[in-house]
This record gives sequence, C-alpha cells and structure tokens, in this order.
Amino acid sequence: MAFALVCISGAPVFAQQTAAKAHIRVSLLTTYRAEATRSMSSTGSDLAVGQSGTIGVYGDFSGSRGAGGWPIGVGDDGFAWRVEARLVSVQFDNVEVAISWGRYRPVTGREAAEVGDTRVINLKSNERHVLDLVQSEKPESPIFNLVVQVEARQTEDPAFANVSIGYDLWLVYEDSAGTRTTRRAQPVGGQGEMTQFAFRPFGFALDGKAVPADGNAPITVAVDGAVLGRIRSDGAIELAVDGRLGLGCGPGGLGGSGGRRTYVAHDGETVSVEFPWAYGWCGWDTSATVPASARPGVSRTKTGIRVTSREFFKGDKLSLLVTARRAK
Amino acid sequence: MSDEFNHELISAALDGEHVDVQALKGALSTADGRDALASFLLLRAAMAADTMQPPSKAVPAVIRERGGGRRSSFGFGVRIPFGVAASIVVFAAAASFWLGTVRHAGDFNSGSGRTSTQTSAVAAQPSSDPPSSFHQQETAPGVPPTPTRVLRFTPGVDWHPAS
Repeated sequence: MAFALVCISGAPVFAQQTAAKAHIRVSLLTTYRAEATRSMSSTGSDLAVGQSGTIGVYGDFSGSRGAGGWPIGVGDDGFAWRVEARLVSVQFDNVEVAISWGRYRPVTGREAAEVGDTRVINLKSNERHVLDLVQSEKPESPIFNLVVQVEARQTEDPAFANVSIGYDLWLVYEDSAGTRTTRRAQPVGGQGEMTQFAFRPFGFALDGKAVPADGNAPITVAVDGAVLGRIRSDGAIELAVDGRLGLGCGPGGLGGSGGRRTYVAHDGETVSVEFPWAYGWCGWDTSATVPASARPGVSRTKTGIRVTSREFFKGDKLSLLVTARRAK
Repeated sequence: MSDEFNHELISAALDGEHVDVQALKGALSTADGRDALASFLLLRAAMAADTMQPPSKAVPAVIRERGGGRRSSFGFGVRIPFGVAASIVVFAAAASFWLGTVRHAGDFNSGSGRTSTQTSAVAAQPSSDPPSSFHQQETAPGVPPTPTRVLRFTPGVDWHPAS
C-alpha cells in the first residue's frame, strides 16, 4: 500500500562548501491499531547555515502516505504538511533550525493552512520534535493517528565518514581526604556518533565510607551518559559529553541530574569534566533513626530517611576523564 | 541572581551556549552585568588580535568558570573580574588533587581493586579550547591519565535536575 512521491522542490544548493551544514528530516509517523507507531515516510534536505528548504509530506487514515517537496499530491481524504526549514546555526551536536509549517486539506485548498505556526527549535542527534498530531475521528479507521516530526543533525565531512574514535573514559571519585576510587570504560564510536557509556556504581554507607555497590549499599552513585566526537580537518576533535548522575538509596528511590559539556581537544589529550553535586536526593521509608556517625545531608523525615547529595558529598569530587583518539 | 551567576550567564551567551533569554536580559539590566559584558568583549577582542599568546585561549573559560564581582587589571590592559586572578591560582592548585595515594576499585569490566600512586601532575587549564601545545603522555596501566584541563558542569547553565 505504501508508496512514495519523489518530487522535491526547491532543493537547496550549498552556498559555501566550507559552511556548516545539517540534514533536516521530516517524517510522517502512523499508529495502527494494536501496533507500534512507525515512521512510514520521510524526506530531508541538506542545508547550509542561512539556507532554507521546503519539504512536503502527506498521509491519510487508510495508509496512503508520501514525502517530497512542495506542492505535494494528496487524495481528498488526506492531509498535507508543508514544512519550511531555515538552518540557523550548527554547533557541535546542536542544530538550531527555524521551522514554519502548516497542515493543509485538499478539500480546502493549499492556500490556507488549517493549522500551523513558526518556531525555532534546537535538536541534537537522535532527538526529534513533533510538529503536529491528527487523531482519527472514525472508529473503523485502521490508523489511530498521524504524527509529523522533524529531526536534525550535523552533516559530516565525507573525508571522515568511516573514521572511528576510541574513547578512554575514567570516572574518578575523590573524597575530601584525597582517596580516589576509579572506574574505566573504553567505548568506540564513529564520526559524529553519540556513543553510550556506563560505569558500575559507587556504594556508600551513611557515614560516607565506601561499601560495595550491591543491594545492601545505603547510597549509590551511578554515572552514565554518552560522548560524541567529531574530528576536524586540523586534527583536533570536537567533543560533546553528556553526563547523567544518579543518586540511589538502596531500599528507596532515585534522584539525579545531568547535562552536556562541549569542548575541543587535541587527539589523545585528556580533559577532566567535573560533575556537580548540586541536585539530587533520595530516601526510603523506615522507622530507624539517623546514626550519629552519618554525614551531613542525611536527615530524618516524617516517614523515613532522606539523603541530599549537595550536603552529603560536600568536599568530594566526581570527575570524568575523557581521552579521545582517532582510531588508526 | 548573584553577580557570579550573571557573569556565567553572560559568558555562556557569548560562547554561543543556549541561555534563558529573560535571565540574560535581567543580567544585562544591571550595571555590573554591563561591566562584565564589556570586559568579556574587550578580552575576547584582545585575544583574537593577539596570536602570539598561546595560553590566552584559557582565559575566557576562566572567566566563565570563576567570574567574580570585583575587578582588577590583568594582562591585556582591560579590566576583568578580580576572581580570574584567584582562579588561576585555584586551578594551578587543583593539580595537587591529582597527587597522592590512589585507590582503584577496578575497571568497568574486571571490578578488581588495585592500589598505586600518581606520580605526576600538570597545571590544569579550564578552557573549552585545546592548549596551543600538547604532548601525549604515557601512563602506567591501570592508572588514570593526568588531565591537561579541568572543565566543570555549571548548575543551571549546562547541568540540570533530571526530569
């Protein structure tokens, strides 16, 4: 049933080969009864900063859909979406794009969108932004809804298309006395590829002493995230480090925080990225009292015990040492 | 908002990072915020014009990391936050944290414990740009390498509570 229309209009021409570029993709997703939501048709444009491109997608609740340029053909019962994208900026893994979109019905013509707006959005690799969702009004329709979404990611330099980057990641916990505990991971990723990492948690007693991070540990600290490397023509490596810091109470809940840090490093250079203890708490229900030896940040609540990371880990440091190397 | 927060916000905006527009407007509505903006712009201009100062790339990030309210003459003849000077001392001292006894709980795969001693350290620079000169270091197996720079996630700027 599926068919695609390929009639891209206004295909962009790169103004400068050296300008930062991004690929903007618009997809139509459909949700069938008793099935998952799937991307059924999509198309995209490669844009340089400042350039615009127009994309059209259409679909209906019988399963017909297509993607291409604008205008785009569509049956009387269908919906057509016109998406005009202008690339605002590309920085590391963040693509900023201005979107002007509208939903059109053939029965009412292409002149007036029945819904739509203009928005500026920032997207990273693997992120998506939903522009529109249309629910079926007919109970016998095999499709529940139609969703239009946009994705964006930086266009990679073809010269580095098949390059791999090896990461040597050390997670270093250092208490206020200077004692360090480390974890290590060595993932490998492609050019511009978000590469996941995760470390075995650290475990702590309520007095702050290190304990095995098993189910009996009163407090655990877990770090995971992703790192993106992009080798530049001068040999340096642009890096984006996504870190997530989870604070867990053995018998209770989990709190946490996270963020992204970007920087440029030499091939093989080690950079330390320090995690803050600014946010996060956890707790569990218990009738026990707080031991006298407990660190600050451990407090009694009405129903149990609560641990607040900012106070508990005050004076301690948690760092991720990142060394990225181009694979030989 | 504190002056330090405002300075970080302004510096982050100048670095092209995404900041809350209303917060930025608020930061620039104060005389101190405008002073900081002027200092940051002059400093960046001075560094862009001076290609004979290899370590200079570290300075903007120092301001971002440790911006303070007091002001002092420094380097290029422009007025920058007094905290910068103190920051350089702090970051140089930070290298000492990498000295001393190291207890390893083992790598991600093995989970084994080891003990060793860190034997060298360098003054870490808090810059998002790479240093002008760099030599790959050799480290003993199982010992984390010594960083050339220390960067920090900044709560409220690039670090947020998990949703």
